[in-house]
Amino acid sequence: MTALASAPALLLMGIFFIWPLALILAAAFALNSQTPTFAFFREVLLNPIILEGLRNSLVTATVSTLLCGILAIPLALIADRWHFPGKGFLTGLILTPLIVPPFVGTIGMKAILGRQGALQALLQPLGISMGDWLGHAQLPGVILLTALHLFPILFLNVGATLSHLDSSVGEAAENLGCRGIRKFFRITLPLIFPGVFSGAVLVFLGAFTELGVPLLLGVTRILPVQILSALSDAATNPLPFALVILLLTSSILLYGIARLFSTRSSKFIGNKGSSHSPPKMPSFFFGLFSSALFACITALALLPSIGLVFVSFSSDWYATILPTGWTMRPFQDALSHDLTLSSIQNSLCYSLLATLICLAVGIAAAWVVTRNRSSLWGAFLDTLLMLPLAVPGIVLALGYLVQTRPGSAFSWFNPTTHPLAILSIAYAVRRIPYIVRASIAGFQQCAPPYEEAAATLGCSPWNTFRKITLPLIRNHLAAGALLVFSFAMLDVSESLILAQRQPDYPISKAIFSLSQMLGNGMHIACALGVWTLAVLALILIACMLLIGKNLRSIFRG
Amino acid sequence: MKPQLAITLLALVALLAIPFALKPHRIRTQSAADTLTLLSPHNEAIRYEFTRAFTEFYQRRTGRTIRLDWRLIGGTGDILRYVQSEFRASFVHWCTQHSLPLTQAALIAFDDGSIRLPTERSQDTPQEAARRTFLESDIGIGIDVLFGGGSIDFIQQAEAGRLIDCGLLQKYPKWFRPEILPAEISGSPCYDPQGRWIGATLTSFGICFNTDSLNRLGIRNLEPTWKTLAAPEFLGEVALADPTHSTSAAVAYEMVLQQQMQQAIQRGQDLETGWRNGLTLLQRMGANARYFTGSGALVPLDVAQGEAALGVCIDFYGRFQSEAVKIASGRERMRYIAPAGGSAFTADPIAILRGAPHLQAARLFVEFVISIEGQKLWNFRPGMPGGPFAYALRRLPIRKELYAPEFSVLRSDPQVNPYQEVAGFQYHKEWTAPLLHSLAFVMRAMCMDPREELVAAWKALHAAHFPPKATARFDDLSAVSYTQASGPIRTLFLTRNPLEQVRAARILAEHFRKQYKEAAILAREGK
Repeated sequence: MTALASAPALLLMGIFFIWPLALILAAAFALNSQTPTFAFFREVLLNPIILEGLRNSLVTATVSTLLCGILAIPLALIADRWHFPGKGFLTGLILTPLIVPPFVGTIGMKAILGRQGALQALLQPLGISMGDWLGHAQLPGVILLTALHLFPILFLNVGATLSHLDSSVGEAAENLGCRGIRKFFRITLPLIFPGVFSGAVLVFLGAFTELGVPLLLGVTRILPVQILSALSDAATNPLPFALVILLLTSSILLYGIARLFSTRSSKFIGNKGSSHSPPKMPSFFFGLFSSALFACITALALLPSIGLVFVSFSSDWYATILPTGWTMRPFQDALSHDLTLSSIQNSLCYSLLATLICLAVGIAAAWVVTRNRSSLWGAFLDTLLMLPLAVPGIVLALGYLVQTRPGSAFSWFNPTTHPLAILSIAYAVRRIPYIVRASIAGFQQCAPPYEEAAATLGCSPWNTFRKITLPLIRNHLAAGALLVFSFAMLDVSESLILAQRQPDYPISKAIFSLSQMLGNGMHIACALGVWTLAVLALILIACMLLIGKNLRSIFRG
Repeated sequence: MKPQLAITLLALVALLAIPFALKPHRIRTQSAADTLTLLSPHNEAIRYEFTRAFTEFYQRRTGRTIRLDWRLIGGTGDILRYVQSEFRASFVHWCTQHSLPLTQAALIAFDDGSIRLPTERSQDTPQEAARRTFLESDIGIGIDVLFGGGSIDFIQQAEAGRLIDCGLLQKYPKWFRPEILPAEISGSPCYDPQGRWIGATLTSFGICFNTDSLNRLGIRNLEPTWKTLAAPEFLGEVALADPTHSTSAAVAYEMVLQQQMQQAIQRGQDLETGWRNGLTLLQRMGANARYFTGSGALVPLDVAQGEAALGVCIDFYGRFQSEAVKIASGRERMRYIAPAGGSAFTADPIAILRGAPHLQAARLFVEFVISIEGQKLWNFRPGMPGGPFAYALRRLPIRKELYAPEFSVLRSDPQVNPYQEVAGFQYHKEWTAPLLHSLAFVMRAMCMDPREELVAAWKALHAAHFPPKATARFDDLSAVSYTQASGPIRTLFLTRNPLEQVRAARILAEHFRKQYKEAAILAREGK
């Protein structure tokens, strides 16, 4: 049974994760596909500009993660401990950066913080100049945008860990005189550290492999952009493959270190019978302060979204606080465009199929991980299915290009002939960790005695799963599936590289293509971005309504 | 089901339904009888208008429907690298299928245009045999038409053997008379005498600028020359495109060199001096650069939004965006100017690729693009008889008849006539055309890879009022002289050794990084 349940995951990961990665590895050490050589790798290691790109990627990832921590941990603590005015609305709104479509977020940011942006227009009458903030502070710009985009992941993660924290430990500390900041650093932080760390891993890897933000801010000395710019001549020049190895090795190394820390579970978290205090009513001023803090950070995180919405409803926004020429025309143009309609259909198809693949493979694998008696096999499968988080999307996309070349064994999957197959699989492979985590959370909350009782009464394993287990975990599966679907709809890396024909474009590539169009292209792209944002927001709301607070548990690494 | 959940799901369904409700009532050609596959850097507006017009033309001609399958890889540079890579992969695949020996030498030689084949097949060396095999084959990459790019690129593609005769010169010899489609314009070829590529439209390069940004910088009148972009007051204000990704950008920088080389010759100096003067200008433009973008369209977009004060762009990008901004905002805040005597018009061609799977459709498409009917799309205003349907493309047709007075009222840019404007500039292709790859390589090593050090040195020089020793160190371009560019650097691309190219790029970039660091130190010391 274990072998049967593990087979889909092993097949998917073997063929569409390990194989393309192995091809990349092989290409990096072969000159003209003929002679094995380390020369290109040596060139990479000798090139100070590439090494600086790696350093910049590491700095971006590290500082973004720290920034995320500074933003997310206090907010998660406040949300866990206190009721404050507008809590439900603000804690929901804070998740918006997770679903801002790619590329247009930067347009929104430029519209507000740019040289002729809204903030500049607001400050100019006061004699204050913003200067060329975005132009002069390029790497900090990438760091800030990345942090504002990713911090909700850490917020959810820390929130989930805090909600499982045994409050009697904190109460004992307080009884012994340990309070306030001291209690946070001596008691709370060490207790929630594994959770913080696993969330930080997701943020760190996301920031380390971020491509969209540096691309639009014009930052070139950063590893993912260096890889992308070297990709176009990949067939004649193995340099990008060698660069990919550098990125991959760094990612896996960092992920390995992180996993080592995150698996050190605390005995004070999630124990059966442990009690967690419900949120309390704070004083009026602290409640107000909490709301203001949430509102300010949310507003900052939502700057790209706010800018994006305004641009989409205007014909021009230049050197004024608010746009001029309010209009619905961009929406009309965007939603009636040939490119848009096909891209929406494509994205829906790719993402739905990816979600189905993830569900089929993920549920079976999660069952093995939670119900298998061999903890070693379960751990292996769990690690294998979490590995896609450590691999940049462009690396896999590049691997698929090599794997599906005409004449190869997988040429049927070539993106120019069967884009639906390869893009759905590519999306599924990269998002499978989310469904696996959601399913594991569901299986863990569904007590095995129910299944055992059904089996004792003569129910077959399939019927037990269908009639007992599935109804008990369906909310987790629904939430995991909705997250996979949402993140697949926003995919950048695979979409940019694998969707080569216009009729095969998903939404993200359509947005990119429209944003490059002269005239009102930017406004049309933003309108499509707002539509996508609205769709994903509704999906997220549906997701929260389905499982409530359990959404957080999915983000526990 | 909870009521909130039901409302949310209903709203979701309604939102998803909007695009389907707004579905345009245009001809749907997804299930067409025929297909044409095109590789193009052209924008969405051009793709839309040519798809619409050609599908109608095709149906009239053949009575059949056709679907245009546009493959969008990136800029022209990206497309050409893709074509080269794919032909290489196809050649390998073809040789494997036909059990032909595949050596490293054959892989280098099969698309080497410099190889002249002996008359007798029996006398072929292994390299010549590989080349002959390729030229006699129908090896293709599954794509029919290459549409858009620089004429230099198409010349190189034709020499490599990747393009085939489109048959238009034989079919319509009248079209190729000097009064309709001349063989060249200001020294730049308009079509291949063997019919392997034909110019579809004419392109020039110039400067787009934001008038508000110039006011902010205290500049009242902008001198319409390339030198303007190198002035130190424009530090961080210039938007430039990446010549390694966009051939258009490489050609624009080539024009800077051409002008300086012409001026050097007029002053009685040699080409080496002209090249050095041109590169000095490019180096300073690079020092002023806000970025080197892979997308040429970003330059006018950013200038229009005031993110950059000025930039180098293709003529129609500049004209298109300045008018779009004027319509949207009600005032002219962005303008486009052609540098005085500093830019030629070059052909933007179309060609059929070897092994085109839909050859007849490809031939008809090329014919349509060069026909009067197709040419009208480039510059007629939308809605005019024979003009585009939705977008003003603002491109300049290559056929001279379209500049006749009777068409003026129908055109978007009636004041522009490239055949009259070329008087001040003569393009000498033999000076720089073979060095286009070398120029992109030099720009990368001189300006892009060491960009941070270049900007730091430029700032230090400006702050110290250009002290002589530091300026001399900064200006030392001996590593990329005309002799170097035409010799060792060009050889790098001819021998096609990727490892050598990567190594040379690293060494040269490191050379400039060191040089700029030293120049910055000297400037700070006031030397």
